[in-house]
Amino acid sequence: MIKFSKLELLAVALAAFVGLVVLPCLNAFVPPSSGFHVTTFSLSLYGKYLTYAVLALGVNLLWGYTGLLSLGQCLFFSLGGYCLGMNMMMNISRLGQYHEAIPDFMVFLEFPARYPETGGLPPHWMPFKHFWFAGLMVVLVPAAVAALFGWLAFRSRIKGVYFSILSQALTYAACLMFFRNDFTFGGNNGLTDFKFLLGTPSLEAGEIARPADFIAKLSEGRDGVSKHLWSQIPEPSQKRLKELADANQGAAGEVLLGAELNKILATGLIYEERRFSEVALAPEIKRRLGQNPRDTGMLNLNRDLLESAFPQDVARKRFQGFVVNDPATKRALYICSGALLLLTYLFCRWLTSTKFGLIQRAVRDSENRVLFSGYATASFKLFVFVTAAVIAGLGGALFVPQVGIINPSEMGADKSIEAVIWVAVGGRGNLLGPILGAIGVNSLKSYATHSFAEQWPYILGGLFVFVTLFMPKGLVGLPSQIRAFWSKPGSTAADAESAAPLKPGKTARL
Amino acid sequence: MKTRLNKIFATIAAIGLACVAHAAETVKVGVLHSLSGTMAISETSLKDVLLFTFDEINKSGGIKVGGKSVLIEPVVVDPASNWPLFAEKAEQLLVKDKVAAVFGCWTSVSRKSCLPVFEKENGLLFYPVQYEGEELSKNIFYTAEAVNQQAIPPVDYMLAEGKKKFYLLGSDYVYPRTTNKILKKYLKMKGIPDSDIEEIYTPFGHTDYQTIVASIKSFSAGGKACIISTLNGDTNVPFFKEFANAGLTSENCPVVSFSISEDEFRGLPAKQLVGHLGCWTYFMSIKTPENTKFVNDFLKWVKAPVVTGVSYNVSGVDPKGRVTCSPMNLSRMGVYLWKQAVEKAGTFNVDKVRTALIGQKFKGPVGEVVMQANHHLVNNVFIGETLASGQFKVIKTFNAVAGEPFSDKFLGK
Repeated sequence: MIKFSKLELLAVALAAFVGLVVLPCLNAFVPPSSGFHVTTFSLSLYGKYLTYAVLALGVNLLWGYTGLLSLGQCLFFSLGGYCLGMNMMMNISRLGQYHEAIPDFMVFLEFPARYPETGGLPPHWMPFKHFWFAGLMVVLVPAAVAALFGWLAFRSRIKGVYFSILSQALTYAACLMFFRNDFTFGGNNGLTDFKFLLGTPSLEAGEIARPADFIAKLSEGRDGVSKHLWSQIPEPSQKRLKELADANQGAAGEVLLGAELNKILATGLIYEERRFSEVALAPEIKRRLGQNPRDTGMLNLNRDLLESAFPQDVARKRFQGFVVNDPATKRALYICSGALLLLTYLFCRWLTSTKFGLIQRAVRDSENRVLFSGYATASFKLFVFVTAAVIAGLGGALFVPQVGIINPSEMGADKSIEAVIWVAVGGRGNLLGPILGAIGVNSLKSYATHSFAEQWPYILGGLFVFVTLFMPKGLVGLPSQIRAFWSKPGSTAADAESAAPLKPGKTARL
Repeated sequence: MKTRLNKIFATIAAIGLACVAHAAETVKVGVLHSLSGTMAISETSLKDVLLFTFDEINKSGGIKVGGKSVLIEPVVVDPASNWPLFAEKAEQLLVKDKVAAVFGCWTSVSRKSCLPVFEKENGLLFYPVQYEGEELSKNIFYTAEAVNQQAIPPVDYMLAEGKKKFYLLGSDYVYPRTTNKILKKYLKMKGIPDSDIEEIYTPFGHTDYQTIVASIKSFSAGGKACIISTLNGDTNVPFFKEFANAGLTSENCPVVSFSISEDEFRGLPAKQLVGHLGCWTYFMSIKTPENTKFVNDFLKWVKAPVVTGVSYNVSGVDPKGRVTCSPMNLSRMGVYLWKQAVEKAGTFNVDKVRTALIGQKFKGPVGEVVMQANHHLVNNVFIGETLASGQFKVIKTFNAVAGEPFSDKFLGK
């Protein structure tokens, strides 16, 4: 168990309460006209900062506590993001630009010619259809990459600056690999235009029960809805559908009908009072009709309307997933990010307070002594490296649905170095610093790129230089630094007491 | 001394105008171009020309809406060549600043990154840079060249010149890939066999072109070959160097580049490109009264940049060696088209402006453009030959080419 001081417990509980309860409530229940309202934009922005804070905690676990400066943590962050992104790409299903079953970029890169047996979907994409699989991969892929790289690096006793350079090379190599269109992950554009999380309202294979009968029903136009839907299908497709239905080629009919119906679902709300007069609609659907939803919300509603109008023909989807851009989804993602940060904090807090944490710090301060005391330091380091990668991967997975894009430039070495800077600004070797640093630096960046669009690189760059030169312990070390300054004029900051003692010479070194 | 006096006068005039305009209303308009990071070198020029255009409009009385003159107040943000930041800044502009329209983006990935934001918040984005098409959002107006306005005309030209072999060379990302995919189909339609088409991609910032140039040399050995290049940015320097070293010239194997405009020559030596071709909907060298005025006004403006009538401090404008180029012209025309649509609709309401934009005509520096229902322009297309000065000499003009984003529309399935 972790032993909390009263002050720490109070602080964590207060931060969690404000972050996880108060802010989302201010967003959900306070009217926008009120001064206390938190906009969905702000909340989503905070959510992004929180995922960055998670990443920073991972960096800190490596750098601050184990002395391993990894300049490639964003690789794991991006890998986690890509895994969830792939699932969200699959959720777009036939509702993309081309209304094909595969993601848009695969259509124009002519994947159907490359992978004809799967209709264009590369085989390794297939299991990502399932959220559980993608979720598992968010953890496993970063862990596996980190385990392999870490095993090779630590076994060869690569440390210090060489480890930093290697980690940087690793993420750069991955970045170049993902840039390539042949690598099947969307190349330079990456994965974007997400619509749904955890499910899709798209009509997919197998969701039309008896395609031939359904085509007949639509073409005869027995009721208002059928008439409307059939009239929306272009004439050549109508003809082809009738032929397929007459020839009783249900499977081919289903593919074409599915594509056409998906197009209709995506074009506009199919509801009209007269048209649906004979259809019994659930009160929940009626409520949503009143809200007049747009875009993806409208898609979800259209699917519900279609199911209500043809309960025998169209499969009932219990759960169609969340619309990514919906304020409620954004709020939920924010809460998830906050919860993940809290859990990561508690985990790191626990880990560093155990005997393991003690060895971790011993490795940092003098690895040779630990080695000669009979500890296999390589295994300890490998464990921490894999753990930090998993933390980064989870952060990345929550980052992607909130910002709406993941692409190779997120793997660039500069991004990983940025993460190291957050930790340095906040203060490493303790758990509060990285969180403060990540949130602080990114808030400042968001503010400055807007209010000082031309000058912000100087502001941020100046801050980094200042912190490196004059605040070796970052923001967190500032109070003790000030105290030391007042009590002993002329003494240096490094003499000041701190939770994690660092040698004076060590702070300046990367 | 003279320039300082000019500056003082300009300031006094600006203050005077500001006082006069004090009563005038303003409307916020977003500028979403990277001012730092890898794309800054290209995008900063677009920010400059947008501010120049706002100044032009404000000076001539602003936008006339419902009997009032409304001045444009720019909100410039820096998405720092960081794609997720593009989405964040776009949302900030739409939600926090409540801008009436946004002008911005250069790379396709930046546009794709903020597209969902514009659709969700129902904003308006004007996109001014040549791109690969295959996209049509109701919230984006593409003043940019579509593939059939930039890639097809030079291929037609080359075919007419008797070229029979085509070497498609590009950086490995979506724009070259898609463009070349379309060109391959088009060439096949024109009877060029697969064996006479070569397609090669190099990574970003690639520097070693020895093997590629060697293969080009053997490919072009019989004459009648040309190169369609979608190489992007710096990588052009080693390519053209190697190309010249191998004894290839624009005579025996011309290169048509789609990504090099006058503005790129500010950072790229033009010497090795002399005689090679470019294809755009605008060249700075085209002599029309409108273009001369645009170029002169812009070159004057960069020396003392202000946005008249509003309290916005222009900074970071480089006054040296400035040129105008197609993306800059398309940026500027986007602003005017939007202004006209707002005046026609009598409101800044996005849905009404969107409707009013369709069919909007504007007489630009090098000819009239029309906004079509597919959110792309009808525009004149020019093929130009590179001169040592980094300018282009127009050698062929295609009048009123209608932009079409979807290739199956102009190629057939």
